[in-house]
Amino acid sequence: MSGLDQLAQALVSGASMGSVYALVALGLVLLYRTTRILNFAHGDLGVAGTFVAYTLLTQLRLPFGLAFPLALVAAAVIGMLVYLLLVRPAKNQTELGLLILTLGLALALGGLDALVFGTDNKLVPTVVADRIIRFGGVSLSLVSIVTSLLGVVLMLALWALLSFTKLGVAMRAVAQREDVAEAMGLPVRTVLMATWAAAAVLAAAAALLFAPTTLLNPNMMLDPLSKGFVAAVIGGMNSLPGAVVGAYILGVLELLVGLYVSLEFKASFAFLVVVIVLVLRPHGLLGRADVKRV
Amino acid sequence: MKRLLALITVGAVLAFAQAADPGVTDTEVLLGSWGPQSGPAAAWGTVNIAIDAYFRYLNDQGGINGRKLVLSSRDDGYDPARTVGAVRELIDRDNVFAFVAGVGTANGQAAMPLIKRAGTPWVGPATGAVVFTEQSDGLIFTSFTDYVVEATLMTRHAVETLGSKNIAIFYQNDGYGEEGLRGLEAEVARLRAAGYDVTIGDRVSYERGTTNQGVQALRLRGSGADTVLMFSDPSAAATLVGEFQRLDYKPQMLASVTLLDPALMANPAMQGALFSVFLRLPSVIVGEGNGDPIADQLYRDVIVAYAPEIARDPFRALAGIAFAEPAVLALQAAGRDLTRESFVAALKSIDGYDTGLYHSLSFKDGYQGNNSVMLLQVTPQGLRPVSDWLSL
Amino acid sequence: MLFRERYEHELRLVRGSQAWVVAGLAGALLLALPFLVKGYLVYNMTLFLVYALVALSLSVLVGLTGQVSLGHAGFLAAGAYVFVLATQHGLPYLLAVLAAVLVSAVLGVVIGVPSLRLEGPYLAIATLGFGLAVQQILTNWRLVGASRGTLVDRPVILGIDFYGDRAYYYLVLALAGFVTWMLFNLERSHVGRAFRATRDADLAAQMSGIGLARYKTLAFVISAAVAGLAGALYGPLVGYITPEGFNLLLSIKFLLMTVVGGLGFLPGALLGAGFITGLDLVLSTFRSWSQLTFGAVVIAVMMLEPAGLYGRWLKIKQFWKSWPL
Repeated sequence: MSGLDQLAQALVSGASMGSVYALVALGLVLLYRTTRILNFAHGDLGVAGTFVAYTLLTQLRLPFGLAFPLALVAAAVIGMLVYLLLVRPAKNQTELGLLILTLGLALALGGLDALVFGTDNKLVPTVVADRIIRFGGVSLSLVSIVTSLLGVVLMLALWALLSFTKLGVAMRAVAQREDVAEAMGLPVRTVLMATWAAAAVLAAAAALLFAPTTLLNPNMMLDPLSKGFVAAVIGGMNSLPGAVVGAYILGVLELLVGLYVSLEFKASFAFLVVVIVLVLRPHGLLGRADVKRV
Repeated sequence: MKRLLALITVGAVLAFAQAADPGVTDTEVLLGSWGPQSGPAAAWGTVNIAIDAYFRYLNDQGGINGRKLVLSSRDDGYDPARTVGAVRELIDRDNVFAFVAGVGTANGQAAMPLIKRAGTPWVGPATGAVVFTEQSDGLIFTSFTDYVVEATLMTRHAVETLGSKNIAIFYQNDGYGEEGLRGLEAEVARLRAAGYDVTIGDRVSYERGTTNQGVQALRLRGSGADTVLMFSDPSAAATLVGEFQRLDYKPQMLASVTLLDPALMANPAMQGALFSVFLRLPSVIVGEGNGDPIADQLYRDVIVAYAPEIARDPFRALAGIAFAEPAVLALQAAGRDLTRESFVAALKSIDGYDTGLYHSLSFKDGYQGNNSVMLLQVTPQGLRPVSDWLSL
Repeated sequence: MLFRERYEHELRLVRGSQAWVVAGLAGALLLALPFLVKGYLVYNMTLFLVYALVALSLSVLVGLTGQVSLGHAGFLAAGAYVFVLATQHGLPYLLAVLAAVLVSAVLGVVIGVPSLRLEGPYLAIATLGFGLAVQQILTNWRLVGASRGTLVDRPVILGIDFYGDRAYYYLVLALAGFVTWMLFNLERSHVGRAFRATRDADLAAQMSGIGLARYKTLAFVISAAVAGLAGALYGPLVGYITPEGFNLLLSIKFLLMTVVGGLGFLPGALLGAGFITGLDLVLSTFRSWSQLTFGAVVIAVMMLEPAGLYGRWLKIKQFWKSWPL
């Protein structure tokens, strides 16, 4: 195959990985800009949702069209419970304290998954039967097209939620100034709960779309989560479009580096990109600095 | 006061004279092990759960020579620093008689000097790294077919039987993957010298724990290899074959024993792949009715009956039993007067034992008791053997 | 002495007679310990001392200057590997340790300077990347055994063999004790106050004439150097090092120690290191429950006690001192 075809194929493969990173990064950014929590349990929330879907699909033999939304609902409930039972009553409300809380939650959820569902690998069925579609010298799989499309739909839904609904406006208000929002009579607690639910839904969607391309086990989201963090940081932790841009940049760059530079240092390179971006723009490509008052 | 002191001395001498080796009482033998039961490698903790189940099963049958087998196992989270702590504790406090299994190459390397210093026998390290056989010092008895031999035999089969001309390897960038690469390189050099027309297409590695194998798939396809050797973990292999499918690249795949995972084999993209195996396999892996009767019996009577929580991971569960098998055999053969010396002697006398999970187990000629593999192919009806038991 | 009333109180290393008693008891216990417990506990105590050094180094960085790091296993790895390389080239023990400290300190500059403009999640991810990069470089570096890892011997200094558990414990205790004392002093000095000023209000600190860049980088350098020292002690303790051992999970554990122990208090880091190392030891027989329990304990501490274990200790102390008020 020609070098050009190989390049085109790398771009396509990178973009399909990028859409998983984008969903992860969106969830992280959504939660961070509203609550200032860097959520290390994000991957495990997604895995928990995927285990629910797996159980519905294989034990109850529900169709995908039913199992997928039910799993998202389950993830939303888990997200709300995390907020109500752990985050809100926590006495340590510093940024770092809450980060550590989510680290503890990540370990606990992973341990719980292992206990309930086992540490063995599981094969998650795909949304549609796979077919290969050729497009010039580039081949695409139907599954990855559907995956990317579902990802785009979810991103659009999130955008619509934030831009056109009262809840979305409230989320943005809380993100800007929680105390003022509260003083203006916004139900801050409900808004934060909804944010947690939405972030968990995004996490579960990412994990559900990612699972069929690998094997499901309690640690499945470790790598996509760290890549999602990288994407979010490249784009800017408080910018949703930034998260998407960062994710696609990372997905494609990873493939290009692996193909033309070095396979061994593929992952390190991703972080080198982060450092370069951050040195030039300390708040990411599209992020904005918080204004500080002394 | 003097008399009292003398009495104590006599008593101490008597007690010392009677004391057998550590870990052995009239009613029990204590064996130690370690493995990750938390963290990213937790799946391998299954090995220790299986050994514990196997011991309880044997105890319910009356134990070994009137003694019950007790396993003292520690979770080290796959962290060598914790392995050292665990092994020290098992030696210093629990006084284990011997070690069985013990998961992880790095963890075993960290534990090895301590185990040797204490003079504790160690049977069946749960890794195929060559180092444990090479540096046995008469104390370590391995039965996991080593990765170099495994890769050599897979390569030989591919070239001599399947007629492969261009072999590439997909390997994890660590000791495990590199030993696979070593076996491939040495064997291809030997085959070329013997007049075969075969080349190594590409050597493609990935970092443990990374999930994006797009580049690797592109490079493997670009190399034009007709055969791909896989020394990876199941998740990475699943991602890779997914990419193969997308690229419409259909090489003959040969998978290392570590990939023997029901979920991976159920992946439609794995149809036709060959798996190398060093154990007899139960029906739950190879398909109903095809299983080996010995493996079926152990799976049913030990795993399902005593540790149902690991029944979904049949390969690692049976491997756990297999790692403990030589130790149990030797405990039986050593008789009632059990010492470390008689235990090691009994291990060395195991010769051609073939009614267990191994095709044939012998420590007569060295400390690697089993170094053979069989190749099986994934078919719609399950795994089907395509070779005899192969060895160097 | 319940409150610090005068500047001299602020300067004291040990405050009040009870503190002297506590410090004395702790010191005596640490000295006598190898003769009271079995060998494996001496090993675990030594591991605690090594981890305590890393936790302290993080406490200086995160607790005093507010710069978060998720890559301290990288500095630990750098120290351990430089130490091995140096001893392989025939350097005497103390020089090898010094080399480990210096190289780590240089890495601290390399990471610290680009991190000057970063904060919060940006810094967390950049340092996380540093840890991964160190791991990957070591995995592919043939000179130090690459992914196979390498064996590390315990030292012989001036003819004294430190192979035994007790001997090595005292060596680590001496070095760790010295560095701990230095760090406690540093915290009370003008440098320590400058650190805290940059943490609490960096703009205000700058207005007061504190060079932000200088102090933030200095904190990184000190932190990296201490973690590097811990690495040089870690290698011979465990006896075998491999790149995969210095993973993100370890970096996370160090951060857990610092925060669970009590952020901003150096004694808290010691408590946290002891707590997490001990928890690991206890949970090693919990089988499949260990990870869930570990996570639950961490959650519980964060939910119940904002200032960590040390904060709880301070509250208990205050309660008894001011009782029955």
